[in-house]
Amino acid sequence: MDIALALGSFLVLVAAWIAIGRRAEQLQLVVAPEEEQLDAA
Amino acid sequence: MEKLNAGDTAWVLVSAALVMLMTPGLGFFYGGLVRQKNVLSTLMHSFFALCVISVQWVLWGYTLAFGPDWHGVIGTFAFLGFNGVGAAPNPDYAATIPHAAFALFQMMFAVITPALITGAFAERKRFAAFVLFTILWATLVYDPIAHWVWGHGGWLASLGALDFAGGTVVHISSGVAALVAAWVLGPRIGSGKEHAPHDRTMMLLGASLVWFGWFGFNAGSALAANGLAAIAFVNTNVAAAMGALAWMTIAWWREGAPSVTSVAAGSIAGLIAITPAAGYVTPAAAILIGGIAAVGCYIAVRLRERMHVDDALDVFPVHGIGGTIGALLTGVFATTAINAAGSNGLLYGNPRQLLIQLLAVTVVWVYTGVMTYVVLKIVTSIMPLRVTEREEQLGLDVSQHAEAAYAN
Repeated sequence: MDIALALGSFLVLVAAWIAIGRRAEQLQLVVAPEEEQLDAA
Repeated sequence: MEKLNAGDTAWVLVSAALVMLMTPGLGFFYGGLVRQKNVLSTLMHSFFALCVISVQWVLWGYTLAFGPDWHGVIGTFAFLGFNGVGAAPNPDYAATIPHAAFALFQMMFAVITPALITGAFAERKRFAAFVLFTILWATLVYDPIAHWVWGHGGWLASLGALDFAGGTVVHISSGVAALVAAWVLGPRIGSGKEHAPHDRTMMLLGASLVWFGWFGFNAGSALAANGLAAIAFVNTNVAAAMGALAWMTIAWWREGAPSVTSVAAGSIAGLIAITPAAGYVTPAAAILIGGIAAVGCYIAVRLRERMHVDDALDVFPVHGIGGTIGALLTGVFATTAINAAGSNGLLYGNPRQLLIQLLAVTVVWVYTGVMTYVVLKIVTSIMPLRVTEREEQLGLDVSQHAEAAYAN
């Protein structure tokens, strides 16, 4: 039982890292045009 | 229950702690060699590998590498979550120490191997991609190779391949993976121009910590506090020293100065090359192995500079080539006068051992190369591998970790 819980909690962390990594990619896409406008200004 | 030996147990536990220190030590070695804006991200790679592989190893890494054998290829799930890995010894691996001590010692090898690769993709890899790569690479590349070479029933071990402490398992695998990773990621912005190390004192401190920890890496691999551990300890030190002397001499001759960087690089090359041989060869052979490795790795670094692969901190020419030289020279210099459980090498009338070593080297090169590429493609399908151009110019410390290493 403890092994299943430990395995599950680690896999939740891995899933969170993947989700955060993918979200950061989407944020970059949103932020990039704004940065270009700032650069131009 | 097998009889535990207090001295053996103490030595292996201390050795595990020594090997643990190598990973942050490696971080300082690499951290000193990168530019100031990337030092924290480089340190973070090593420290994070220590954290994430420690958990991965307990949960499933150890059982894949050292669990009961399945057709010589992989360990089965008997030790999942360290189930059954406790105070009693596992006589398949070490009859006089707790199974948990053996598993802990091996954990530190599993930790440092993916950390070694990080030198190749320093200064440009996204942290999230590094995290996913490390978990997948440890599971799909390190764990199977560790089973083949060190696992009870592993197919390369059954053929008689000698690897005392990780020439193939740790250094060839990390070196070849580094080459593939650097190739897939592409060069840093401004690659080919000077990327001067930002702190050579940090680099030498890191190299010193790594050398210190390597006593646990090699002498601890005797898995007992005995004469073999003492021989491996001597061989480790003298190979590192000769490697440093040889590399420094070549650099002094070719580049006009006996640089601090050259002694650090040479000592690491000597340590890498003696790793597979430490418990099989005489101290005189260790001197030769350290010297030959330094010359070979120096040439490899110069050749790498001509390639269009930006292996930022020369992981492939030092670990990949140094590990290969050491593994092959083990097949030349090994003698049963040092280790009766080993084999004689070419110089002692057994040329077959050299062929076995060549086979093990070839297999690990090919498997690691192909699987590292596959792992990188899997990661790429989920998220980008490298940072944006803007983030790279800003530096990974700020862009990936929102921190700066120094106040000013």
